[in-house]
Amino acid sequence: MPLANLIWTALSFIFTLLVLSYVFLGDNPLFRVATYIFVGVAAGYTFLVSFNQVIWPRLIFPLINASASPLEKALLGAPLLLGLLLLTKLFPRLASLGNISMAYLVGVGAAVAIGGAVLGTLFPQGSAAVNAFDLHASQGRSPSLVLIEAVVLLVGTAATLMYFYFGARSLTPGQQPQRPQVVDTTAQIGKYFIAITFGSLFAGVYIASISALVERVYFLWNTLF
Amino acid sequence: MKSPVSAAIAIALGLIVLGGYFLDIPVLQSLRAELVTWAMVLAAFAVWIGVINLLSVHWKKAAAHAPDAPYSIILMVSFALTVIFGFLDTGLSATPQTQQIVNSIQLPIQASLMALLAFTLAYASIRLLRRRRDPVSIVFLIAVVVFLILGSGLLPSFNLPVLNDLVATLNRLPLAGSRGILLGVALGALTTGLRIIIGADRPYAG
Amino acid sequence: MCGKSNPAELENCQYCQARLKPLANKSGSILPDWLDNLRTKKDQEPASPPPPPEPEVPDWLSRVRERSQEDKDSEAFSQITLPDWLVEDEETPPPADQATPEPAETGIAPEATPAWLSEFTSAEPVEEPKPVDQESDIPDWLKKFSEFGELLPAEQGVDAPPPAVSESSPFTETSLPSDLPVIPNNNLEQPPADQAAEVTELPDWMLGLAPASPPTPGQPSEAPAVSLVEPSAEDEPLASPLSTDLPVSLENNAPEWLKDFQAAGAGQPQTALPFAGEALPPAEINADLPDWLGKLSAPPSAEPAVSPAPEEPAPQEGESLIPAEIPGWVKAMRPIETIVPVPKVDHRIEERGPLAGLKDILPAESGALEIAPPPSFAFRLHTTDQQRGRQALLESLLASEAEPKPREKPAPRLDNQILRWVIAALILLAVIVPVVANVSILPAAEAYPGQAAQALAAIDSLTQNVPVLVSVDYEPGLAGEMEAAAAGVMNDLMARGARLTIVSTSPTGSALAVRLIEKAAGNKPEPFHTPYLNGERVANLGYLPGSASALLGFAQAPQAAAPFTVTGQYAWSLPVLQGIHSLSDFGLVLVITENPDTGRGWVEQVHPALGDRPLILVSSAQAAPVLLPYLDSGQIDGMVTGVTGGAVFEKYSSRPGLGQAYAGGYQAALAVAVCVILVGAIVEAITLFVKSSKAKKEA
Repeated sequence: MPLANLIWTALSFIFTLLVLSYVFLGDNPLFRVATYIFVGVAAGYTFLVSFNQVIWPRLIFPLINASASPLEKALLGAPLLLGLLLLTKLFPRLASLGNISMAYLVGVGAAVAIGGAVLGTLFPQGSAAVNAFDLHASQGRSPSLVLIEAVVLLVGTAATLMYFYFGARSLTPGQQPQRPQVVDTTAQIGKYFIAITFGSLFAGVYIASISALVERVYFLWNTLF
Repeated sequence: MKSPVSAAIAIALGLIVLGGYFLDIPVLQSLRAELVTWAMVLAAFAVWIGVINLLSVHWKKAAAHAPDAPYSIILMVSFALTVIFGFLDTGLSATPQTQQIVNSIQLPIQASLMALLAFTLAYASIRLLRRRRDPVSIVFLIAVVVFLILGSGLLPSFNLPVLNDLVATLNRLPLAGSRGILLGVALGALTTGLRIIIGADRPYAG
Repeated sequence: MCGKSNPAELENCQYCQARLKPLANKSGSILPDWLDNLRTKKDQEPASPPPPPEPEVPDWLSRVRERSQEDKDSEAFSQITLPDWLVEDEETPPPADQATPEPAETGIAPEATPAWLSEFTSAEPVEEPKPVDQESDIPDWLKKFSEFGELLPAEQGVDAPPPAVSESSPFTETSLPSDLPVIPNNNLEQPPADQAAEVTELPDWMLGLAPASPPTPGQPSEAPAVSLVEPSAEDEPLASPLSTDLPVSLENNAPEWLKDFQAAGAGQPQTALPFAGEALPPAEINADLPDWLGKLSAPPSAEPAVSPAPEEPAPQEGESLIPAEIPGWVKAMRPIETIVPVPKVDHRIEERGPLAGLKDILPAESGALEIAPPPSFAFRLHTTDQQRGRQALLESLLASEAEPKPREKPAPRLDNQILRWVIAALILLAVIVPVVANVSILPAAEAYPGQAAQALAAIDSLTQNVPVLVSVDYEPGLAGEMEAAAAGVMNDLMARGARLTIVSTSPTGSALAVRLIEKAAGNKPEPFHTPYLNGERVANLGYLPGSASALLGFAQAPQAAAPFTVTGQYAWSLPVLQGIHSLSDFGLVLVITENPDTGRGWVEQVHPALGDRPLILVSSAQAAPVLLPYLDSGQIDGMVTGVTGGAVFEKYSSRPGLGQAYAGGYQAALAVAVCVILVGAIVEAITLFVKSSKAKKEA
């Protein structure tokens, strides 16, 4: 094994043990050292990659490159200016200048979120909830089972959405406003569907953590033997 | 009106980018592509701001001799070493040695932190009923156990037809809640985005 | 409030429901005793402008006043020792001709100042001075102000500890200032660059005074209007912003501006000052402020908002309450948070731990345990009954959630720490034994049956040498699971000679992609692995910053969004990317992610650009439940989930890999974990049941 690889493997081994010391020692200085190093290294690597893979090749290099056309350079002036304005956020006295760049990011982000939500989720998922009743696409399963499943899924989806609906009104003046009975009942059902979904998500997180543990144990074992 | 220039920029950008989803006009598409590419470069600057702000906080803690100042110093030193090593090793491009920073430092620490969850979540699951004893909690706990068993891949090895149908149905149960949550998230994104685009919300004017 | 006219007899505006008549005018009894006494005094002396209530004047302002007195009557000043201004005002009231210029120095009549403003300017805080670092005790609007001016802490807390950060800190100016108030000072001259810091060390309302004091003819030309904040001795550094002796330093260093200011007080009409002539109409105050604040802010009787300048005739009582709108900058300074509670938006910045300084991160403690009932509103919003009803319902829902559940003490016979150790030991053993014994239990089926088969079918339809776009979008911490899930798919693609193009919306993605290829190739790489291991058939385009926006940009114009590889080469002329002009030119898109949002982003932003090309997802078990609807709707053409999915895919493709290697330890650990959770929960439930039945019997 080359020396560099040996050093990297040793580092990896040590850091694994430092963090896993938490299992039996609790929060201890070794564990904290490892976590702080992790944050520092992660920040450093992110900083490095942002420069190496984005700012240098897409902004600075084309600007200083003689082969780039004047139009290309002029077009790059805008992101350069916006980027510099964004950096003014680091200085309290100039921070308001950075609002323009923030507005740029927020405006683009809002539009992207709307477009994606409408075209990528609302319409397709809405139609999928309806298409579940298509018995021709049952793929060999019993049509009655498919139908029951589709009804359960539709009710579950609607009930989950209802759970987050807080519209209420009072029928008589002075009365405590309440959700309509239908909405309230559906929301109660939705609570159980949410519990099932969160249960599966929790199980998923647990499975992911077990997978990480298995990978680390494999690494430690293979390093030692 | 507070920062009208920023509001105008946000609204204009939002309309252009949003219009590109629905209108197939070549000029609009080209303009939109250019604007979104600029946003990517801008996002890299935003990453820098986050990193520098993180460092400034730890610098202040170290300068103030806070109780965890030594850890802050460790953090800053590890940051500096990473950046210096990265530039010395790669110049302006990534090589396997720089990538070893991820594979040999970030990965083992983060994966080990993830592995710790295997112990703490098991303990938390046991303690759940002590904290909450309503029917929803019980349903949640049952769902956790069922999906852990399904996720392990052990149950279908019995290879019973009845079990297979049951497993298929159980597997699709979270679909209802997930779809409801996805639709809720999409509706939320829609309303939040629209409020920004019509200028009712201005999170950038700070 | 709305500016429309109303009949005189109405108490509330018929348009906007704002109170038209001040509460204090109805009955003086609603005022606190001390305020009532003041009012009585005021009523007894209607003819002459009363001396301003000196205790309301900040300490530094009193020193300014002393300075002014010194200029006028140095002899009298020499006989007064600090804090004699209190004595002077309370015991020996100054003659009227001396009292009148004093308010002119500030332009603020304390009686006409709203309570919140007088509280702000007061140097005598009602509460104990708070240390600077106890930021949580300071309202947000005050924090912003103190950040901007840095003067307030020095005024408020005379005994405040020294600032935590030394002035020499290079990062002193680098804290994010996104929420600083922007208060227009249009007529304020721009200070020189080297004085900018000094400018910011005064509150804006004070800066607003500066334009009202133009240089007098006899004044040196180098003293601009902003000399209010400019020390005369340039070589003497200004005191630290948090220094408690700032008023003293101003007194010592800035005689020019004092003279200037004094001259302005003597020579300028007072209405030119921001506060002068713009005494807040009580109706407006009462309509907008909470009841208690409205009572305080309403003047007990009509009295001059500003004492007249000596040259001017004393205004008649009542004339000084000129109806005027509150200036915008005053509105901006209103302590909104005292009226409208600040919503608990989780934009907090982490203050402790290694993530200190980062915004919007998940707190270490459970947020659900910190739910607090929403604070009640102290004033009447313009809301409909329906909206109020909804608010009440939401409050009641949240209140029930926030209701603390009775926590019982842990069972004394079972030590929690021991229980933790036992659980940890069991799970560790379950993982280690299969690894050491090299036992592998092949899973018969995946968690979501049929997904891996769908993915394999999509890959099977590919031709040799097909270009494939691979998104390596997972964090290093999940690499173990993601590599086990994706190694089989990658191995199959490499065996088919696919040309791999790699992108990532995560900074670490490009490095993890290299590792993934190595892991997929295994310890004994086959010949077809070689061009991938040496990079010949791989174009690593690296990091796409901006998450969903980046994905849209890449989907729309991949060549513009990711022009270079991580090694700095122009990517789109490489053999790997020959013939690729848009994403629909790729034969397959493979997204490997552990994050539901990233998966959603690929489906929402990129899938429409793919045409009929398949999109396959390799997902972590933690993201699969959320991404499942996209598989059900057909937006995803196949999904491989977690270690189990990877092992099943490897079984289908007859290429054993990491998924099958990890399966033994993985399944054993999960089986033990399920047993531990089940047994623990049952024991816990029985214990609780026995306890509750015992309690019922005893009751």
